[in-house]
Amino acid sequence: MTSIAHTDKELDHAVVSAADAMFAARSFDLSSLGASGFAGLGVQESDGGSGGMLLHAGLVAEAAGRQRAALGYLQQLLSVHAAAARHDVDLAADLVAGTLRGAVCFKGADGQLFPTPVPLNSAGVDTVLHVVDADGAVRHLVGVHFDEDTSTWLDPTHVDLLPRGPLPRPTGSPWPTALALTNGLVASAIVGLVEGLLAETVGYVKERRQFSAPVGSFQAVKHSLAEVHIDLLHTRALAFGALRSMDCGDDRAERLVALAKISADATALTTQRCLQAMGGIGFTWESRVHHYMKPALRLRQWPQPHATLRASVRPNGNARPPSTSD
Amino acid sequence: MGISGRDADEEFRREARGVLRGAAEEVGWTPRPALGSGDGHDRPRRRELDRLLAQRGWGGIAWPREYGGRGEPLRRQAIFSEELAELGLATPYNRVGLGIVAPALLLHGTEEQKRRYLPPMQSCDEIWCQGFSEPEAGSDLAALRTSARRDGDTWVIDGHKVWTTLGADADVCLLLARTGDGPRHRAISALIVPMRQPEIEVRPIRQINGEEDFSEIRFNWATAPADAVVGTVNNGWAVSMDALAYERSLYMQQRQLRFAKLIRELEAGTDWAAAGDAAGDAFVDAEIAAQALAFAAKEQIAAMERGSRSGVAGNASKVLWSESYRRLAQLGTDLAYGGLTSGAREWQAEYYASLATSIYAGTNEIQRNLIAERGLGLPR
Repeated sequence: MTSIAHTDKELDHAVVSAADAMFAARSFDLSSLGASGFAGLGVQESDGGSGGMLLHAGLVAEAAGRQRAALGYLQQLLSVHAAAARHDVDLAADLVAGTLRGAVCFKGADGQLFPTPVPLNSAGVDTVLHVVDADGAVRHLVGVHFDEDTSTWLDPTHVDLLPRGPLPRPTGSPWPTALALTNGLVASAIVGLVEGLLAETVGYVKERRQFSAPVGSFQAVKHSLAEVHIDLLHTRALAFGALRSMDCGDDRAERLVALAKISADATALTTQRCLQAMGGIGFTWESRVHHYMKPALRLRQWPQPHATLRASVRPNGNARPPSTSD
Repeated sequence: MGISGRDADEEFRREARGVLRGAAEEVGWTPRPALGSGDGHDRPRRRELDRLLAQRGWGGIAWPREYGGRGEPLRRQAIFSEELAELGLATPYNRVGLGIVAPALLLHGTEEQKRRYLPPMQSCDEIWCQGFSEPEAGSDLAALRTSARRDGDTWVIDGHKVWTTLGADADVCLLLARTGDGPRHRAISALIVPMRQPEIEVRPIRQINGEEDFSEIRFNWATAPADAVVGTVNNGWAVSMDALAYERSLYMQQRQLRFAKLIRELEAGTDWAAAGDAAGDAFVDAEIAAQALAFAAKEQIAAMERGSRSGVAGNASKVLWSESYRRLAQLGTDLAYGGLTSGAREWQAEYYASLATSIYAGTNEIQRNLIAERGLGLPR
């Protein structure tokens, strides 16, 4: 990655254009991802990464979502960050270069692994798996084979862990920003997925005619898709605002990315409006609706189940101040 | 909740905070909660404060200096609004003038109009209203019928306006009137009309919350001078659209800041342990909306500073803000009547006030149409 020599907007635009083109051309392909360096965004070059800001990683995650390559990109990117947190520069560099595939999964407070999304066609592919404990300690396991049945959803009871490299240190390495970073990047990816689906839906309703008019001219359809757009605009603003806050070291950042993730979880549900607008066709396997909807809904439950994240941000119980009027 | 972290902006913020607090103390305005202090609260003192700020050169932050402003970038107007909100100051006293008319004049007005009208607007010596909606022309504003015809050196105006904010207080009106026979949007002009004339009747409209923010106005052959047109004759539609776009940006930002302050007050003053998870989730949803609106406003202001339009983002934010505010007000009301927070009457009043927000500045139904058509490209 070149150093940041342009104005913010120029660099943002350049990153997005390159990411859109790459993912559109080859979807998720490790070699092209490796050549781009995008998997190393937000990690300093001295730590094996590509430099750049978390904001740019978010922009690429959004582009990956639009092109239905979100899961693979997120896992590769987060693996680089996990490796960097362990100061494993060589591993980080290999993951950035795409010579190794990576994945990250998280544990809850009770020690149970949360279900983790993994890219399609991961079965039989050696993957470096980083496991993040609830206290933020990260351990890595090399050479994970995913059961064919779980090629899209890692269930820990089906994973045959085959450590081939050095065994992880018992205490693990701290990665205090693991959850916050994942929340922010996943929120960006969900935005991209829903953007992609909305674009396809708009294209469809402009063409599909009933009652001698495009169905997209009917106010009910317009208003429903407008709701998706309203939601997207604001979730996007919050997700990227939250990632900028992380880049700036703002002490509100952790809460902001959690809020952004909850907002994106709601955005994931707006895919239902797109399916509805496309009618029966939207419900079929041949339609691309589910290519966007399913990853978005999976990401709604990652890195933590949605209900767990919701519970963690509720306001705490506290005493009321003296009443002013009742 | 700061707009910008840049050093110069933070220095501006510190200076603005000091000026505001000093001026507030002079006029006897004490910092107060957002709850219970909306637009109608302590208006005489608010007018005094705004006048004092204008005298000290803090009236039009982003206005050009030649018209009494400070010539600052738009983001500093937003920063100033944040500091106002912290003192419990919602929208300015002369809110229609500053939020809607001033942008129209700055974009379309003649040099003479700017020099004549902007300084007394800023000092609150002339209060403004906007005469746009009519009984038969609400959402379909282009259907307006109020007419203005030229008679020698004057414009003669005949018609009926409704939902005119500050109509009862106003000295001047930015009026939309039909001035030609051509297609609907192309036969409308924007005129500056003096309100203090016997040919203009103003009747305040009482709302369900008991307040009288709006009036209906009858123009019975009222007059305006020959140079009253803003922009050019029959080009008023463009003037009004620019004015309304500003209404949805900086003016709306002030509303959003108040919404955010209400959220902080509710958070601090509620027994959440007893309130339950559903209430906690509803609160977090409000917080999400407030944060998203703040970041979206920042993007919109940055786009305006670059001279580009932010598409339908302002329309979208208006919808989200109005509906989130209503849900927050309902939550506050429920918690207060449940004994879990204070201010039941105030929260109930907020709820009633919130019912207008999905209607004014363009109904949310119209906003969704615009978002679908202009934002998504769906067919009309």
